[in-house]
Amino acid sequence: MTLLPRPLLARASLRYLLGHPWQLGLALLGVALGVAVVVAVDLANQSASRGFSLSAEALTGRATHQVVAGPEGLPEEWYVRLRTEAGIRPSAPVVEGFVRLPGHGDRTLRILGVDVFAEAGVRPALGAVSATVEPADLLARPRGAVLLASDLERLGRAVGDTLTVRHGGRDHALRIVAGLRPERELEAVGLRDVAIMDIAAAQELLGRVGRLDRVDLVADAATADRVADRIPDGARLVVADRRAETLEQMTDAFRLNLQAFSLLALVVGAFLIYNTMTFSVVQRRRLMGLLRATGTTRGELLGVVLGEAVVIGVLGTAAGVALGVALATVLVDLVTRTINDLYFVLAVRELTLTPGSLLRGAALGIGMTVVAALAPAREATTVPPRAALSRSVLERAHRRWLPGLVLAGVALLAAGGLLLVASERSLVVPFAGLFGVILGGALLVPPGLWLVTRGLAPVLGAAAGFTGRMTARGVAASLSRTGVAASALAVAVSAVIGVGVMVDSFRTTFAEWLDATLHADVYVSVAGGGPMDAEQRRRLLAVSGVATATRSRFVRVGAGDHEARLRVFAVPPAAEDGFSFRTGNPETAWRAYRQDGAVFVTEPYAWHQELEVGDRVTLNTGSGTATFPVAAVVYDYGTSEGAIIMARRTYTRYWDDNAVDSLGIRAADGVDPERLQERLRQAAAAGGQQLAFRADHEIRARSLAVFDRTFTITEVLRLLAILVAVTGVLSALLALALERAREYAVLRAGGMTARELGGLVTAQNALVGLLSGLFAVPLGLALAGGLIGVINRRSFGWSMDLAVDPWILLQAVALSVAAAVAAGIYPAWRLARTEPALALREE
Amino acid sequence: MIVLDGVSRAFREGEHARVVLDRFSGSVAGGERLALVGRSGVGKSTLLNLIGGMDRPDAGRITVSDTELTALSERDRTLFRRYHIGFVFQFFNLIPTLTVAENLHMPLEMTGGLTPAGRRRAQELLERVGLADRRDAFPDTLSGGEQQRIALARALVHRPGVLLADEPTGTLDTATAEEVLTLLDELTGGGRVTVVLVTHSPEVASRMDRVLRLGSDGG
Amino acid sequence: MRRHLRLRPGRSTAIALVIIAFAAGGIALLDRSGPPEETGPGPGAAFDVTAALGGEEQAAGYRRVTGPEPLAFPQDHGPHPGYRHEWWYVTGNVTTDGGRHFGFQATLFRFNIAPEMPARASDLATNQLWMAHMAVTDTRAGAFHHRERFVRGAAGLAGGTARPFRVHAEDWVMRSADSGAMPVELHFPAGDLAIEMRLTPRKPLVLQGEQGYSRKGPEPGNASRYYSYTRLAAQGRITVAGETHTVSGSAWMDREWGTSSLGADQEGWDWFALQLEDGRELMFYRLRRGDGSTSPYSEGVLVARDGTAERLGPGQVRLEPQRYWRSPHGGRYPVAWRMQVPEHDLDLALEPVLDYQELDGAFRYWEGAVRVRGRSGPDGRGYAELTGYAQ
Repeated sequence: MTLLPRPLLARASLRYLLGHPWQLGLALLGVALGVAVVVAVDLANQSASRGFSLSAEALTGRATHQVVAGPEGLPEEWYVRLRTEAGIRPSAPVVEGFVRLPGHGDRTLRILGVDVFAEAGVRPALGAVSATVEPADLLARPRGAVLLASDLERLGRAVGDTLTVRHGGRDHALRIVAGLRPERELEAVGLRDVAIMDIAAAQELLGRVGRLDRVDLVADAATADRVADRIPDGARLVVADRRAETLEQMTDAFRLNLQAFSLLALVVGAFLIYNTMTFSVVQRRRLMGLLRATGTTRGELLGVVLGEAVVIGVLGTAAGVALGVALATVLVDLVTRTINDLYFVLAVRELTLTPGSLLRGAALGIGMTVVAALAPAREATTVPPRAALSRSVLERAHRRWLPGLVLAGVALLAAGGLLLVASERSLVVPFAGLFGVILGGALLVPPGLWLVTRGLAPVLGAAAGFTGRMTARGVAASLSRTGVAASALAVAVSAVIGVGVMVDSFRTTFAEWLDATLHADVYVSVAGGGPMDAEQRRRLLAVSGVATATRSRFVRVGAGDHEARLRVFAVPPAAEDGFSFRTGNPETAWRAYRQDGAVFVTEPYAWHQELEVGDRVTLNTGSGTATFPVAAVVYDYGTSEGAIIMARRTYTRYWDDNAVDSLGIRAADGVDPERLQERLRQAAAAGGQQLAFRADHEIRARSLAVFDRTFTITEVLRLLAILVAVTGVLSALLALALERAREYAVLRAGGMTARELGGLVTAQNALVGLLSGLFAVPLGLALAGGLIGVINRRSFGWSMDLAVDPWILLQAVALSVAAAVAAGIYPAWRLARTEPALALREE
Repeated sequence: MIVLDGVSRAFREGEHARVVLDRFSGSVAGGERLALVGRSGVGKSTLLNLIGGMDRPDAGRITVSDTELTALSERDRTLFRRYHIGFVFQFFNLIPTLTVAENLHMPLEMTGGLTPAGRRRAQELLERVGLADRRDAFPDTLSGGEQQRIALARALVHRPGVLLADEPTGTLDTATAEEVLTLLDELTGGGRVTVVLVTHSPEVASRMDRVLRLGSDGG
Repeated sequence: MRRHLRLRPGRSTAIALVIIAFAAGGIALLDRSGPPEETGPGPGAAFDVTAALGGEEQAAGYRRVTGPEPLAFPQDHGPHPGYRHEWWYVTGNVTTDGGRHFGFQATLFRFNIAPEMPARASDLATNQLWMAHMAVTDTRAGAFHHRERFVRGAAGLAGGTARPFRVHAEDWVMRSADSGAMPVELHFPAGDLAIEMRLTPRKPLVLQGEQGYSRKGPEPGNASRYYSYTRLAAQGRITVAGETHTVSGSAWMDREWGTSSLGADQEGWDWFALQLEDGRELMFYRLRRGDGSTSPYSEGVLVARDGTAERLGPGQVRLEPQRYWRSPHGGRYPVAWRMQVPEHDLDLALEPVLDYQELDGAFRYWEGAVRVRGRSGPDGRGYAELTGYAQ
């Protein structure tokens, strides 16, 4: 028989929650923030991914196979023969490239050159263009372009206007002949930032006359075999889906990293929930004892606490999902930008609200809340009837847990460490390891806190009398509160340190690499991309004061199952120091590179393709498949995809391609690089091709700016984790202050002024913050070590030196203290303001 | 010497104000030991808090040892309390994170009295209350009676002129209560300390010099 | 189109009308009409047929046909890219040894879509757009199959030469079988549908109109060059639904090129090319005006056994629809006819071998094999083309 029927239990529970609005609010905020971060990152990832697949799908259409050209392109006659002799249909020729939009923030526009009459079976939406555009505007007149009507609106253009694009150092006025309004979302989204042109016009615009970049096929196996038999040297037949897949897989690691960071926020949020629920149970021990005395069963009490958790979980999650959607609109932009910087051109203009992301976030939020409430709920059931346990008894009970916590913490740390180094190439396993390390470290925080504050009490007592002792002992004595808050804070701060040190190390390594690599004084490339006119090159090299020039060519070539970036350099011996060798003997490597047709591979490429010095890479060259020995693995932080580096002499032996994309010019001794650049500019002005000139320091500054931009998202996530942690600390300290109200009232009755009491509380908070911050330092460094040594290496293939800037550590600890103090301001203020008589009356 | 002149105090309870004290006047002579009795809710504890400066009256004047409390700021009242008043409550008087000795030292430290002499006095008091062997224990390891004896010692360690006690034996069994009261007598006897003690117990009240019964009319 | 001077232009007109009507739905129709690999894009439709048929004011920059001029062969078998439109149009009736009948159509159209094209660096840039149609009527199966293609006339994707004669749209080819222009081979593969045919003239070519100068309207420039092979022995293979049949029979080829077209009030036309069993051929087209009347520029020809041709004016031929067929895509075609040429004592009943011989590509029209029964005069076979009925 229960005295209180269940509805009354629920009502009592509800009134308790409503009676503690701050606690309730903070718990809700904690859940909401955690869920928001997870949902936002997931949505941003999904949106980017969806943007990618829509774009890939719209651009690939129904194509099953693609004949992809090497740097020389496919001769257009090959395609003509494919149609007229072999009768292979549907088959659609494509000339593709990117141009810049001067005056629109130098945005990138994809040029998709197609034959609309060949598109019906491959990309019906493009085939349909023929129904809306006069064919003469595509086939006969030059520079005709079709864009999405929505893109035209954004660019402030209408059909009949021209749109100036820059490519190959020249500005071209595209004639806008139609604005598309596709019915399907696929094309409406996938064709964004795409200018559809006739294949001939695209050839002319992109400097590919007579050449095709690829031919898309809708083919069964037999047809594909027939095509394969006809493939010219340098080109290769690939399965269309797989090509897009390979491209998108490059971003997998990046997106997994983001997801792991977002989970961290949720873990911190879980600490918060645990904290709140524990507190609510402790605070109601007397009530629960009474309820037990009047016949409430353990199960019913468990139900009450879990019910409260569910209410908080559901409400907090709902708010978190809404917040996450709002946050995602910012993140999607950052994610897209990073993908653009690191991988490929991608236009994602709005958020896709994938129900999966929202559901996942909601399930995680509610699930985490309930799981975090399990321990407190169990504790509630252990309350004996008529319990009036003193806090100290409770604290002692908690303290008995300390050895267990130490054991569990050490075990988790060890397991995490093992996982971190256990696997060879997996990313998920070391991430699990990192989480193990973080959780293990978090578990060690309360015992650590207890030990340190116990030890500190005499020291502080000697320094500041009984307030000092009270400060230290107060922290130790209220471990059940402060411990969890400190753990949460330590986790968040360790993330700040870990990621901060990682980014800083990376940036330092990157900057050093730039310094080593940028060996020329002036870099010359073609405005808008594309190869440099030969006569422009001659003009530049004839300028007096030019000592040496490195000629570079950047292309993509087939390499087995993927397309590799190939960088071709004609490096004068004086510029050899531009490469830093990771493995390989520089002397023999250079000889092999120059004389034996060997190549270098960049570190990420070596990692992704599992290559070592002495291995060989197989490439589709212009004269058939050939293999090249790897002479060295060089450091390179330019692309996480990685690249193969080849001598120009080797390249021209295998490919019929004399193009040069850029020049690195070194000034002769005694020649002022600034003046030289001016003379080069004047020389180039004589030609029709616009060139871009940049001094080495400009390139360095730009590269670092891009680097910083790339890591903006990391910064944002870091800030969010801190926000969650501060919320947690605020909640914990507020709870603690409320709980100690009577104790503080006694002090006030004894003649302690409000200010003194506020100081005492603040000192305690600062101590919690300081200690959490200090505990976070080793944890953060371990995190940084894991990120640098394992995660980054596996995600991106980059190795970097661990560079610990003490400033970062100092900042993090200061942040921790500041967070705790800031979080304690309100509780302290509130305490000091309470008339002691009121606090005493409450009993 | 405590003088209350036309003191009123009401508490808001929802919509209504509950008048606890209505123009109450009275005085306690220096060194006098007064017992305040009356039914629950007649304002005994309120009166005690007002005398201790932990609460302010809505109207009227309160003078303690020639200091007009009602003219002081909250901070000054607190400082006055620190030097001149000792408090003993029904339960939970001690700071759980300080040891017995530290609890005793606390008022001395706050008043600048933690001198060797002060420490000696604290030790003496500890011996007087019979708990010298527990000086390094934490309060929660003591029994209720022991805690209350320490509380009494702490309230008096800095030699306040006034001791305010709110049901100091309310939760103790008869024998233990007797121990505490005896100690109270010993420590405050002889007119050295003015005592105002709130109690429900006629026996306890009868041990004081004077008994003031507060009626439901507010006195 | 092929046959008549005007036919062609007229046909273009009708095509334009159809295109205008179906501009939006064209693609969908195409997708339905056959496997995607053989359909053009949504018929480039809008395209220039509108332009190709445009009136005088849009003819600037094109070469013009303004009066009789001697035709020169074999050069004139090849393309005339300076004119706005041109076609090579073959229809025929063939049977297997076992007597199984097939009708077939193989057509290459060439359009000049921009007479004043700027110089372009890319070989793929062009003002020549080719369209190709092929159709097979499987009389016994009661099935009609057709395909359509659009191909740019550049870089060897589509185009032609007179010597040796060869015109093609990708792998659909018409070419000389031997050293001379004739005989001609048709090579039209389209997956499980194909036409492989060798065409040998049984009579010399017939210059239509005035020595090949075929007027279509009141202006001298409203005209085209037009000649026909009215009786070609056809021998070859037809593949339907993946099954190949060896066939032989008789075919008809029209050649026409020009720039300007008919008046705006043209609504469509009814065109007939009949090969009679007595060795004569009869061609007639009636141009229908918006008010339903017959245009005075309607015309025909009767070719005697010896190849001599006699022009027929609109007053010499009487046409009466006998039966209508409703297209599932909309519209009603008069598929059965009674044709009378009283001066030559001909009273012929024309019955389609299959009602459903409608090509619903970029432009929808009916082009089908017909059987001729002589109520007075010989029996025979032929082809009819009905335009302007689609709705």
